[in-house]
Amino acid sequence: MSGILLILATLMVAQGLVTAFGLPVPASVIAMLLMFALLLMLGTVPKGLRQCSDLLLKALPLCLVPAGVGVMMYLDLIADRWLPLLLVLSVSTFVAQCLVMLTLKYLVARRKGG
Amino acid sequence: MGDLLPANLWSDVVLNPTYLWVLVTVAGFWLALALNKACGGSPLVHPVIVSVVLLILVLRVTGVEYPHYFESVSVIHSLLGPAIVALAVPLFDNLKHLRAVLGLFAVTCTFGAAVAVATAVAAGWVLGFDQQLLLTLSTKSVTTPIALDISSQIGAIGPLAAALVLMTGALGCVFLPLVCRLFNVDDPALKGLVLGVTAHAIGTAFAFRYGALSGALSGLVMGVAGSFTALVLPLVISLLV
Repeated sequence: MSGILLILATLMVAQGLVTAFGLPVPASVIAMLLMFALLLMLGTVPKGLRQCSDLLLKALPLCLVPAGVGVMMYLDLIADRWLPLLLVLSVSTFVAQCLVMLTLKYLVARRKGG
Repeated sequence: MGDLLPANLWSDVVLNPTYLWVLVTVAGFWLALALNKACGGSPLVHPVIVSVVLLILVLRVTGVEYPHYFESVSVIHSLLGPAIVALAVPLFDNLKHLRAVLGLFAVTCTFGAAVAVATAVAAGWVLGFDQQLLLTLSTKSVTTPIALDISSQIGAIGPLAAALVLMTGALGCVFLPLVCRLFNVDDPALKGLVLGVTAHAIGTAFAFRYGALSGALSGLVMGVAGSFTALVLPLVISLLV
């Protein structure tokens, strides 16, 4: 019980900040960062929050389904360009992995060398 | 017979849209989980992808429109916000893994996140995608719940973004072993970092094959790089568009 209270209170504070300052940022992400800062200050995860977050994280994939089904509104768009879309996703994911991996490898080598 | 059962039993209970569609959604997800298990947890048979396909089939066959479906299951959707906040807990749990690779982690979450966005938008631009589709592509490496939020901030097509994110996650798991062979990398920490920033939650599940450290780092990157993207991308776009 105390877990969901804490989470909802954090979400309300975050939404308040977003509205008050007109931030172009999702309130839920701000709330997650606030919660993370709170945990850092506490140094431990309160039992109620632990129980509640375990449950929510288990349900997280299910929570994505209603929004995901919305893709049925765009099936025509996908049918029209499934090949370019697949190409863009494949090429950009592969190139991004190569670039990040090379950068990290370079940093590791430099640290070992120096 | 007709007198024993109230006439509105069927319409009020069985056809109550909330009961009916929440039940069908949970059942579809449960089926998808079982199928994923049967396929050895393959990232290509991801439970979210499978249950979305199943539900679209059901809605098509029964002729139900998406807005009606979404309104009926809004109770499930409204748990997304609290679930994102709950991500702070595993983030905090895995902090101890971070000390040894703090520098690499910071580079991955900032430079890596920018590379993931830039490569996607660049590739789409080369193929002549319109602006809204480019915006939708920009969130493809961010974990789905955060990508949905960013999409509504920047005017991208949320549901399409979710589909692209899931596809990207699966592709990332297919490509990573190739990339590692190409550059002769065998460090589980590097594998976890790269999976987290390019393939979010699906990549994180995959990263646990390389050990607990790899999985934990991937999960951390997913949360921090996702937040970084959520904070910076809408600002950059508001300056550009």
